[in-house]
Amino acid sequence: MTRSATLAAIVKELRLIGRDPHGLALLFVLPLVFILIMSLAMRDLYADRAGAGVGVLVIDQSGGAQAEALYQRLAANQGFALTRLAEAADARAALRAGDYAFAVELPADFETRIGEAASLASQSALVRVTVAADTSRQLELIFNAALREALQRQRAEIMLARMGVTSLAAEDEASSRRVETVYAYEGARAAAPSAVQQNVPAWLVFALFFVAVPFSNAFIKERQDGALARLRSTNMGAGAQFAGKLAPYFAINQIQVLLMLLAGAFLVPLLGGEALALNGAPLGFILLSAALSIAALGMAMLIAVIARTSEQATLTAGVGNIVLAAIGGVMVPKFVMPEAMQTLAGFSPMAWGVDGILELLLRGGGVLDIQMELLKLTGFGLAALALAWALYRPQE
Amino acid sequence: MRSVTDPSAPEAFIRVAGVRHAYRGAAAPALDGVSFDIAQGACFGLLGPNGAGKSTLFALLTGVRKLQSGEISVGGVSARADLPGLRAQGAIAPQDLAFYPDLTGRENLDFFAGAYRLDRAAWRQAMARAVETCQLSEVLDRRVETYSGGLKRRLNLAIALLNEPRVLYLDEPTVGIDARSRRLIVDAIAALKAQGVTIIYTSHYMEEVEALCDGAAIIDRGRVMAQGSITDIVRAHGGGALELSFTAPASDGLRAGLAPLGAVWRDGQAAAIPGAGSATIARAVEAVTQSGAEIAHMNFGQARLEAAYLSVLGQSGDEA
Repeated sequence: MTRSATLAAIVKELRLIGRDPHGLALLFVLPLVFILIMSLAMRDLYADRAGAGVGVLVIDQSGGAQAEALYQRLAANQGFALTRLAEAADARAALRAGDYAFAVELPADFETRIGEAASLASQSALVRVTVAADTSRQLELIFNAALREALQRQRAEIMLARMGVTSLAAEDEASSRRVETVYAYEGARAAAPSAVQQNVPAWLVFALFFVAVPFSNAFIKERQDGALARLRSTNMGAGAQFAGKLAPYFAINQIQVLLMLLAGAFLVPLLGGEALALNGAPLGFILLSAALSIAALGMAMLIAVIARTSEQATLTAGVGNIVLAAIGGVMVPKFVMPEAMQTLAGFSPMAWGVDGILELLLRGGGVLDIQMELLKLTGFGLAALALAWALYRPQE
Repeated sequence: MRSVTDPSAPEAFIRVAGVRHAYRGAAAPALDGVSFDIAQGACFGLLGPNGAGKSTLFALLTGVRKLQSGEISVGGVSARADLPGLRAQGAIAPQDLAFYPDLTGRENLDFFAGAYRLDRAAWRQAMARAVETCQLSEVLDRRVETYSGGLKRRLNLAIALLNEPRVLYLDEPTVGIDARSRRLIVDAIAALKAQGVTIIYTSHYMEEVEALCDGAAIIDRGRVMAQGSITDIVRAHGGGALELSFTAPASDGLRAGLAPLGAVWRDGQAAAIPGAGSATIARAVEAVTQSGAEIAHMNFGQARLEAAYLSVLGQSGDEA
């Protein structure tokens, strides 16, 4: 039985990859570090974007019904996340810790003063608001306005109650319908990604495409060492040479995907971040992972065939990946980009990959939901491979 | 050009006829009408300075490059009609070490055995033979990057032996290595020749070529300047070379005295004067005497290939 040249090439390539710890670190450790850093560092930014309330401490020293009513009124506003605090002295420390933007102190005589006549109420402050150091002036003004509106509303209700009007429920319901919110852009407002949901797909896709650096360098070293010329004299064709290179790196890509997803699901929460919820059809993930790898390896092979030196390959693959990542929503999420940049992002294979994974993760999509991404990634990869083949064959 | 073989000889195992090859953008062709024949089982030297066209010729003979014009056939297989068949006839040990330094010797041999698509049952035997011929068994499981220069050359040769080639192309197989490894490789090549393997051999070490090769071609600037048996080439071009070696490194005065006679210095203490006649010998002895140098050894009448080689290249240079 004749030995398979392709199998021999695959085994050889796996051995070479296994003996390159720097290359392996580049493929696995670097994106993992990016995922951890970005998921943790940008946690609050993404939480705000997703609609998490502004942290507000409430120190109620009166314990009365009016104070409780004000608390419930503020709590009904989804823009605020209220937390009760017993001692005013603890408020400053909590604000300095960075978890809260404001501390609202309701004095012991709040119950009586809330219903005072306007002439008496203006003598001194009814509530005291302490602002955290990192709270923006813009947010401070919005919160103060909301608090004033709540107090005025509560005082108005007290006045109306004295006149015999006891319920404003119908008015409240009507008010909620008087303001309609629409968005001037297309995006996942209904399911905005968290930091981990954005960063795991983004850096995962980046890592897959980054194989172009070690891949192309290995190819060029083989050519410079004369091994490729020797292989030509052995009748080992371009097909076996290509397959011998592509198959091991395809496997590496799949391991990268698995490890990055597991890191998002299990490692990020260990470090204080949100766990990545793996929604979406498993088959969708498998197909998308394969399509991403085809695209990444197609590009890597094209660079390997075109570049004449390791320096050329490293520069082309490195800079190319960074540019594709920058415009493709890896470094900066697409949803914060201006419309023109979002249009430009549509030309980056990395954007197709990130969009596909977000579709699965955020909206629990299936294969049909990501069919365009699958087609574009596979088409790009096969076209790049065909071009690489066409350029390499004459060298054969 | 002087030719001493008949290119149309019917028994030729390797036939190179009117081969011309030009690289894109080059001012002159790398090969320009090269022709020679090699009999089966012969060892044939391909001699020439750097850039003469030897590597291009090897690339065409091994099927690494496609033939542009002319004809090459090896064992009756035409390079034009059956490139894979031509490749299957032989194997090359290139001048630039062509293997993977990060792999062990065994892993390299294992991979290239796969590349040759050797029969699974036979490849272990072929590998064992190659390892034995090149005496690599003790270092087989070490990474090649830790090998000495001589060991690397031996592995380079061992890889070429894996498919038990009918033709072995050896491109300066002993360049830059220690004397022991060099002797080992030369002995291995002699053994392969004795087994009937046809060998095409390039080297700048003329004594190796003289020891191993039956015939040779001297190429310069893409053209065959001389070819035939070693004896014929030496007889035709070596003249009555005078070989001199001295007891001490040559002084400037000695070098100046011998320069008009066309002396070629092998090292600081030995020189050859090609085409020397009795008048030249008298002038050489006079120049030596005047310089005060002492002759340790003098040889005349036994012309060497190196002298012939230099003589041919000298004519080539004059023509240019």
